[in-house]
Amino acid sequence: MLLLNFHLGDGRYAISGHDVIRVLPLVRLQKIHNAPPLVAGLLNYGGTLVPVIDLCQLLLNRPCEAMVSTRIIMVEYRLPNNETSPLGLIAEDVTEATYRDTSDLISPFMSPEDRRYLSGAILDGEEMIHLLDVQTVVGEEIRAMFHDQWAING
Amino acid sequence: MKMVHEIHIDDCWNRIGVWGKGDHICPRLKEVIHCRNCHKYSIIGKQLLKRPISEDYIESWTRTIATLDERQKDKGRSALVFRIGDEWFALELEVVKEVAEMSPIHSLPHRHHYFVLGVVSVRGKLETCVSLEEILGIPHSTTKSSKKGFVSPERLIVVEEEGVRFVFPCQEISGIVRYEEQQLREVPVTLAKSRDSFTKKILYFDGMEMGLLDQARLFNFIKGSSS
Repeated sequence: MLLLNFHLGDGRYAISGHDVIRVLPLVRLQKIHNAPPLVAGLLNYGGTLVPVIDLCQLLLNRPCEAMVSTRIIMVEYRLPNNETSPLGLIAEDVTEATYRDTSDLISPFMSPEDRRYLSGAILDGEEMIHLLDVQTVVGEEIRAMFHDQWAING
Repeated sequence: MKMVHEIHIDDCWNRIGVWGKGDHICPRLKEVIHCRNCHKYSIIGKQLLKRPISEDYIESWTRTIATLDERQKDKGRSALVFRIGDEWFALELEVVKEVAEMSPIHSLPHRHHYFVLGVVSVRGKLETCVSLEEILGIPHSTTKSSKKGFVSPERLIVVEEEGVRFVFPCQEISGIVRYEEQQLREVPVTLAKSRDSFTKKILYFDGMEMGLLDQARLFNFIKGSSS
């Protein structure tokens, strides 16, 4: 399987290449007032507004650092009606994609909170790369917020 | 406000690497042959991206992405375009794992299928090599290359889907194209039978006309034959 690797702070993470549409540089987003910090804003993607989530906010309670290697990963997010809609994820050090065997997957100890969006891990030398599940990263609260948005685009 | 961010870089490749003035003296070169294969070289390359993002950069990219047209957005799919015999074909990129240099194909004794050429080494790993010419029923071609000055355009294409993996040689590779549903046409009924069954659509791209291969059928054919 193809993995897109990135960092969130010091931690190494990856998502399945299957979910990825494309990787974009960090651009200016339209802020949404009174939105939870997790929501970075809306991306004007060729005339379509795409919600963007800051993954550092999700795990580290701070925004991703504005570096050249910090990028927006556009993923395909499945809606409850089984249609898909693009979703942007901001992550740090998005500079690498690797092939790994499905058999390399392990299930490390995870808190119930982490279990919600982590689907497993892979060992790379002494380091562990956590696998993020794109489909569960967005909680109920966020989904409700973009319900109308997604209804229009879908 | 202009932000200057300095990163200290040890450009060992200019000192003791392949771009060095004197003899190549980095001990790692023995193992990696060229600096571009070296772990240190890629780590430093990535460090360069760890610098603050400039206003101009954000500004120009925001504009570019906001004004993408439909064709540049993700409606399309990607396919690898290559030549078998004198015909151009496209294969969806999801199943293409690697394109490798041509290397000798070793035939196998007692091979059971006319289309199995043998085994071939791709970066040290032995892979089953099949002939798409045989499978698709295309006459062998000696046409060298459509581009001038290309001496050996033949390549090996490594494909894999659900654990079924094989390699096939092609006469040359054109590149990767991004296409939309509208660029696909139905396969003409007059087309030769065996070719037809492995071609799911005809793809028109930049004045070129090529058969988009039906990977499900192709993999099923190989899988069915190997068991």
